[in-house]
Amino acid sequence: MLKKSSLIIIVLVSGLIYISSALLSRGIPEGYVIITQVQADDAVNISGSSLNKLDLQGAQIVSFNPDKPGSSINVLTQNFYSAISPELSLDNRSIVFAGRKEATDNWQIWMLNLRNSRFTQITNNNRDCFDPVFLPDERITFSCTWEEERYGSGSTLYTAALDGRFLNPITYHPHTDHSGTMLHDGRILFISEQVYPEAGKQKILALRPDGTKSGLFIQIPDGIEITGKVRENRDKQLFMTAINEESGNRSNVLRFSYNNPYNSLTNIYTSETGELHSLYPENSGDLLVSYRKNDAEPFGIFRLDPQGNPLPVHIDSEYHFLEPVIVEEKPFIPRKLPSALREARNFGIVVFVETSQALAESKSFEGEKVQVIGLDGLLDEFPVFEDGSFYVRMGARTPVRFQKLNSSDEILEGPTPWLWFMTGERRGFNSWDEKQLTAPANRVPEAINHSYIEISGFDTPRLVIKNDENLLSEAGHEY
Amino acid sequence: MNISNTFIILFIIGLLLFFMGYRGYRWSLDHYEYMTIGEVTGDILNNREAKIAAIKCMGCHTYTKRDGFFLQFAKKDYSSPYNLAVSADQRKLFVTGQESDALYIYDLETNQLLSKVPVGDHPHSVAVTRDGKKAYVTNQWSNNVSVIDVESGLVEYTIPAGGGPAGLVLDQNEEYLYVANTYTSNISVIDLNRGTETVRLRAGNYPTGINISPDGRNVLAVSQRSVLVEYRDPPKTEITVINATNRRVQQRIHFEEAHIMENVDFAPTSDLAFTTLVRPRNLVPAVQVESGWMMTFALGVISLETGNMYQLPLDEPNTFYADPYNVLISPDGKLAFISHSGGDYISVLDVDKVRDVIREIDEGMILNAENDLMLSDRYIKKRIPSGSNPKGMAISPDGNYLYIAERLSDQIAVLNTSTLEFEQGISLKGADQYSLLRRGEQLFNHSGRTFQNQYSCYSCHPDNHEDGLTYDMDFYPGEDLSNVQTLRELAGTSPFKWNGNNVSIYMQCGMRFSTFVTRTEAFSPYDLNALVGYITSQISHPPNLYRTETGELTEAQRRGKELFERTRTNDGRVIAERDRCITCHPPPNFTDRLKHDVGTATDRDNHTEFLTPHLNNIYESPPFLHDGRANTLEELWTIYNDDDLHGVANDMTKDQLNDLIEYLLSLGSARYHK
Repeated sequence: MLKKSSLIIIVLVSGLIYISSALLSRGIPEGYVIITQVQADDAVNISGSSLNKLDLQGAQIVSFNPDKPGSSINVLTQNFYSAISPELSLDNRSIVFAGRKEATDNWQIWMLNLRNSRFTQITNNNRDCFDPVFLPDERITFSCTWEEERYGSGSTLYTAALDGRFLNPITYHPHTDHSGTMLHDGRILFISEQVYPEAGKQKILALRPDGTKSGLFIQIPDGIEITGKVRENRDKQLFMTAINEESGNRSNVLRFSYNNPYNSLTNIYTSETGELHSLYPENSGDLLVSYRKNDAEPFGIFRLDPQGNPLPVHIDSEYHFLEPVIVEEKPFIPRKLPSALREARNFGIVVFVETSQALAESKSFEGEKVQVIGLDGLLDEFPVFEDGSFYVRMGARTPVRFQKLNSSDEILEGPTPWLWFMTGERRGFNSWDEKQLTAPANRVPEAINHSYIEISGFDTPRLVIKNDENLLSEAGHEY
Repeated sequence: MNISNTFIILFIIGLLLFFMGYRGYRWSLDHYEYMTIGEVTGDILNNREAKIAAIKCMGCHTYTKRDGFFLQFAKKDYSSPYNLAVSADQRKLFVTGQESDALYIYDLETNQLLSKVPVGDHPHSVAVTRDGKKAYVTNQWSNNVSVIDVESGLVEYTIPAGGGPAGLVLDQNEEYLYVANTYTSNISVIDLNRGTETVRLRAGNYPTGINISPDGRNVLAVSQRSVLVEYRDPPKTEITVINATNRRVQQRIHFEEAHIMENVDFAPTSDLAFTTLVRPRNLVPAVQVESGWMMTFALGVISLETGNMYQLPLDEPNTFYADPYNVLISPDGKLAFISHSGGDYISVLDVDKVRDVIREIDEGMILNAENDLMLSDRYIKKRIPSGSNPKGMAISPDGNYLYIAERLSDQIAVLNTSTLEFEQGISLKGADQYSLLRRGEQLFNHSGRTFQNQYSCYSCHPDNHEDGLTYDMDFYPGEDLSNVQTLRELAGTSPFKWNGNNVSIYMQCGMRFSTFVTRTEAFSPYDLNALVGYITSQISHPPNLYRTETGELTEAQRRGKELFERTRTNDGRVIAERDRCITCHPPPNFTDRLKHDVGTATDRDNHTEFLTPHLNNIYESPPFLHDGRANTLEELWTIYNDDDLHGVANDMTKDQLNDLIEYLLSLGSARYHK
């Protein structure tokens, strides 16, 4: 028989165990900040480089309490050779990040359950995969590199389930796509630079998670280079850090609105001597920024108040603190966008109409023709209809550009940026302007009174990871 | 079916399913899937268990029934403020309660209710005399105007008007009242001294808004629906210009590529008139929502000096402000306010900047203004979030306060026009919480469940009806065009869509709807229940204007009924059963709910058979046929029935055809035909 005192001890110990496990399973408390911590080493030049292009030995994902200056930091990725770019799940219970277990590994996507500290490897292939972010439907999106003799090298956006299954490339163009984040409308916003046939300027594109309706969200003005992810706050304002070459490479924080990006792009902060790396908008309205006052100092975490004063939150002379995210209520839950794609339809539908057919009525399009250019050259050529419209059934997942010529073969419009169409995607273009800031006139495009122009697609495996490249048997394992 | 029968049947089915165990569960899933999803058409529906979600069996089998016992638990009573007027002394606010059939008179100093005056069915708008002694209320479903003595709070008398009286306005001397009759598409001019209608002027199609210029010279009436146009031509909607001196139509002008113009107001200088309008893209293939490929919303501007007309977008590149309803210009002419009943926003416009933009359009500096999604930034001063479904607005004569009828919030919002901030509003004291069906009505009227908030259910189904347009929704552009159908009294008319593929409203509004129409996240199970419950149980036809008061058929209608039910041709040949009108169109809904080939398919259709549409209040729904090819009922037989496939009718005389149509026009709600 147990004594009464023993019973009390057992009950007390059990209670303590229960309470401590409950506390531990809460994950990281609200208000904490999670960052990438990088050894401040002269040999590592953080400025202007994507972190995944650096070796970054010892880089770790860490968390700290910003309300307690000088408090200890908690390393979350202890057993990794390096780990970068944390992103919180919508319920703040997990993070995804890019990590390397060993020095010889590529960057791969990992997930950490903050409640039980279990790691799950989501990708396992011979490319570098980085910049992961959670989608609202138990999936993530991220970028993986490609390299090809003829087209150069770049990176492609993918989606995958949280266990690594259903790996699905969603961009199909010779670009470098990276820094994906979520818009409240459910689309993925990302930074994209053309690499073939010539290097292009940085652009911010948006697309639906099924890879459809990819298009320009905002054109970055000349001389400005974005240095971190673009992030949206709960007021539908988007923020990004950028370097302005025209102002002597000064660091800036730029803001623009979701509703009307072009009319709202504003520089809200310029650092005269310092440098900004990345930012995160807080629900309070402040911005948490990774910032340093001069080149001699490592990046620390600062809070940029509405008046534009960077106030230190966490700095350490031995470490760079980069890529902050905050454990707090999400400013919005992105919409779960449905997908109408059907694998059985290995083509997309494209309808092009002139900006204003009312205006076009006074213009003759006679003799004008459209050329469709693929990665390896001209794919097709056909005349436009009398109202300037055309209607194409285009092989799916094929990067193409369109251009318009007159009867003398002079280029009148284009070439457009690289476009692709997913299986069963339907797409409309109103004018040759990439911005697509006008709605179409309400007229029947003449082209749809006729059958579509059929353009065969071609496979582009060299730009994306083939199924047998992703070693799924080793992915999705918990550690 | 009474309550005990319902319970017994549900109980027995429940028992059966329970004892069938897993097979019962699978059967339930199959039944659920058949009723709500149907054939899987995309790679979107791969988790069968998830699909069952929480669409409760009780939802479909109880409060979606039009007269069901359980409906009372999902419904509450509301006032639904619709339109407003402020007295000239700024002391009283007059509010029509669309659902409570009453006019509310409030003391604006205390925000207290002075009187609630019972009026007719579905009161629409109110006008008040300058001395504040009399108020006039249009009763849209009673086809008359209530004349109210404000002091006593009593209806003195009613004046008959046309069908569906909506907007109304007093002339400058308050001797004549102009009433826009929506359903009969005309304007009643009422002599107030004699208390009778003196003349009825033909207006556009479904006029709703009407106003008079401050100089008293012009009355403008704006219409909801496009005038009838050539097949596959863009819609154009009439503004009827009436000379207020001789009370005659002076001019008919049209906004091209626009419709659903709900209200109109004038600048105090009487040189400009503003109207709200929708610019549909029904002729453009619905390949995407982005960049306004489905529809956009605009301010229509009419220069009364030059006669020029302009359409200025109210949207932005990534956000749309759906269903603009009312427009008001402040007394100083500096600001204009627009209520977006689908977006739950009030847009505040800088009128001087609107003038700048139209000047630049005149000078050729701005091209394609009507489609330019960047342009609104030039003249929109502020967007103010409002309560649910903001409809009518009134501004105090001193211009200091804007009153907004937030119809589905059951309250009046009060906006300080200097600070553009809300002050203490007025509750109409409807139910203190939203019922399930009210939630459904809010969802129906709100654009928030469409990608970038581009459109609501109302946008294509104004007043729960249809917009008279044909849309290009098929996968392949230009094929299987679809004429929008009414949502009024759908109970008993399933399946839906012209191809009959949607066996229930759950299916119509569920996952497929979000995938192919709204293109954003699907409704949650609760919201889908609410929306379906609202659509199936709460939407009624207005009274049929062609039925006599007693319900007896006129002589012509009686002759038409005999033709509708005839079994022999004029020369005595027997008409095969399948070729008789009544075979495919049996009462009470005048549909057999089956698909038939009636020879109406074209080479752009992928099917030859179409679902038989119901015929209740069919007169409200031109154009006709699945692709909207027939502008009138006559055309169904005189143009599109060469081979008698759509009923044997080619032997009919002109008079017989007229009689048949007279009868069809009289077919009202199914409850009359049971």
